[in-house]
Amino acid sequence: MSEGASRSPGAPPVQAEALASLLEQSAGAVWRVGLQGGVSAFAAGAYLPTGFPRLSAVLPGGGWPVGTLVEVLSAGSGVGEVSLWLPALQRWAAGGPVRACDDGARVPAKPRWLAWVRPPYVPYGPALVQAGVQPEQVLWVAPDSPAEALWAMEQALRSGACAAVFGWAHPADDHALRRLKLAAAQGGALGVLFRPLAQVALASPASLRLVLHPRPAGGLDIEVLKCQGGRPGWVRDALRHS
Amino acid sequence: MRSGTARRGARARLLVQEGLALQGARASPLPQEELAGDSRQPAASHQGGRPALPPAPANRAVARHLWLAVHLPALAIECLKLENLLLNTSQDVELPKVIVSGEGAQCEVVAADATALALGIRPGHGLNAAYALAPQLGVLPRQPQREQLALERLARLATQYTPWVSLEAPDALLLEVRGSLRLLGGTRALLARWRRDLAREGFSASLALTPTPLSALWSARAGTPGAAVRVVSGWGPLAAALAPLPLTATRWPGAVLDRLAEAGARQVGEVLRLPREGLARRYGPVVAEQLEQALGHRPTPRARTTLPERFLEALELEAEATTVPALLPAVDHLLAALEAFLRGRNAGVHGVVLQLRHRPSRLAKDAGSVPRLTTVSLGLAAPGAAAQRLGALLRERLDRLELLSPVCALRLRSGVVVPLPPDTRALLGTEDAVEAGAAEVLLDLLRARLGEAAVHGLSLVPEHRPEAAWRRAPPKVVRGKTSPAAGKGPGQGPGQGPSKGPSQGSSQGPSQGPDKGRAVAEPVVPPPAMQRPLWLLPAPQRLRVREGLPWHDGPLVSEQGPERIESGWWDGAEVQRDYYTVRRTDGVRLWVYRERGAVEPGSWWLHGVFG
Repeated sequence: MSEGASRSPGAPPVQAEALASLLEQSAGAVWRVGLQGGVSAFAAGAYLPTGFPRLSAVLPGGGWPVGTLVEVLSAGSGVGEVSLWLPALQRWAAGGPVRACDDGARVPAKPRWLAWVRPPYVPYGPALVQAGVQPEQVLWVAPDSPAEALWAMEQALRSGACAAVFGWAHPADDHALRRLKLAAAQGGALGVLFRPLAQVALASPASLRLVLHPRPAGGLDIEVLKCQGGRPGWVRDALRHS
Repeated sequence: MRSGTARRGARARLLVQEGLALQGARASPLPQEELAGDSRQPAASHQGGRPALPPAPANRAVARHLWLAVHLPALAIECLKLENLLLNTSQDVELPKVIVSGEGAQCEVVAADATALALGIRPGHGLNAAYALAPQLGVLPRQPQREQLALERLARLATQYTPWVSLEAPDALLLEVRGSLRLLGGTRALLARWRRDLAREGFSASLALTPTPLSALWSARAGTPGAAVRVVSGWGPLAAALAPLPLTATRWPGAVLDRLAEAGARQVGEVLRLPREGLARRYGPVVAEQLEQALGHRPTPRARTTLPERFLEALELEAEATTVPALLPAVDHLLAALEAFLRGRNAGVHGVVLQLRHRPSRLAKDAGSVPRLTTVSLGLAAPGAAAQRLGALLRERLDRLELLSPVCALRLRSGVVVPLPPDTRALLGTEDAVEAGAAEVLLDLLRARLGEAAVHGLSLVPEHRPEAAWRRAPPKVVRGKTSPAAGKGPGQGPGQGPSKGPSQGSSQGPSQGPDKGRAVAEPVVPPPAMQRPLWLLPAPQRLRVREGLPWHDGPLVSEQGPERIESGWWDGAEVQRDYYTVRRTDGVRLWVYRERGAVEPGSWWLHGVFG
């Protein structure tokens, strides 16, 4: 019994390491949830802690998936759709540490931009600073049309110069979303596309789809519509810190 | 110990020099083979005759310089062909074309194109003789200015290989290549690359490589384009190699050549055999001097061509381009020339300007409405030189361009040329080096397609008025670690509370607030308790009022407030407001204020959204 107790803390990591190296050797032969179709971006498999315990508990890997596309559906702006991301991103964009998953993939600690593509209003500097994001991390792109916005998002995601890209582009078809997802995997960036609630019924290639339901008394319920590697579900009052 | 290392160092340098010498010696067999055919026979006669000039000193067995002469016999016509880069193969290409100079009876053919050459027309023919051979002859005047430009373009290309390029007007270049032979992989590799460059630029040239500028020039002039290159890398075979050259290659004045011909000298070797003392007296000082220079007994100073520090090149299209894709080959051509220009000086540009000149409209009524010039300017986030990168960016611009009328000429102008910092790479792993430029590349790409105005960053301004507390700024390329979040800024936020608000805003504001704020780098950040919305409306939006309360798609419930902000009386944009954070019934949080100023007091305005 004592022998078992002494071995148990050491054994699982060794096994995990062996498993990881085995999976690495058979890259392509084994499909792994969370890896982007074998593209194996350097950031694939890494997760950003969301900063909201209730939300982290539901997401696979315990945080936002990096190197992929996330879709956020809400009835309009003003429900906290952006502040949802800021706790996780302020540390990452500044070059802070990111929790890596077991297969050893790591996110480089390197300051990068937070790109805002075609935001509905002016991203307000003082508010960003209050949330811990430095104004010089902001790259604000204001294209004329949704099509240009999709193009700009794709370039920003693929470049490797952005930690995260927030985009407001509607309409966007399935093909465009696929391109964004691939670009995010290539650039190791987090892509977040904000879309109107009407898109709920349509299928989407995004790895994670969230629907935001503001609570009348304040706070936010989050419906996880689709979650690669996890399960759909509801998170009640997701932003509460208890 | 110290002297020991110094000696080792000296020894190593000596070895390197020997290595160079050896390489020079190894390089020489190739020329002798090539020259064998024409040099052996005169060399024999040379031994038989009495040498007019002493052989070169033995201690200079390996020449210090090697000059590559590039003679362009057809420059007069090729420089025009180059301008017609996009020439359609229409019927007038079939017509033979010649370039002529002189007037009336003196009018003679300077250069002829392939069709004319095939009909038997040769440079030097009179115009009438040419017409006799080809009645349907296209005759073009010589354009010395264009020839000079073409020569400069080639000189620019040549600066890739050596810093010492001399322009030998009107139709030749001299390159000193001894210093760069090793770098470029030897004579063969250099010649192959240079020939490829010439072919790409559309020039036919005859080349020669010898230890003195004049001997190289003469050899090149005597040769024909496409023939084997004459290479003489040592002093030994130089005189023998010069001997069979025709005297016309020296371009001495006609009268001198005539008198030499009377004396029976038609080749350089025959002049070399003439008694040296009499040369200068009988045939003028030029002959004796140039012979000595050609053999390396006297120095031949050659100026280094310095090229303009800004790149400017134009290209005329004979076939007008009506679509953008038709322009692209010409743009690529200009960019390739720009890249060579920049490579030559290890420099980059911050931007380029491409101008498209439109054909003047044939209809008089359109003359005013159609612009004559379309300008496409491209800025780069970091200086660049690669034609490929610039081409990709320009294409983004051009793709969105609508040509209102056909384009007949292009002009590419560089911005300020700046030296490129050397490429630094990490010793282990190259990932960082690749990523370092990613931000600049992204910026350039976005700006090229969306325009300069569509891409920006943010900066904070120490101001209490919400709409003035931020400013658009050029995006900052982040390098190194940024300081940790400065969210907990100094507590001097706009209005510490409604109670202190008015006094602080009006008394402290002008004297201390802005001035001090501008002096220190730390911007004013409202304390966490004074929450700011992530979205700011470009301009406040008037709210309707129902039963004395503001209304925005529903009733609004106050969550926080009021926060009083009073500031800015000194610049005419005074603000007297009470801000509230409110929640709508559907959960949307808004930032609204109640006007307290003289204009419409008590009115409600929406200023931000908590995104």
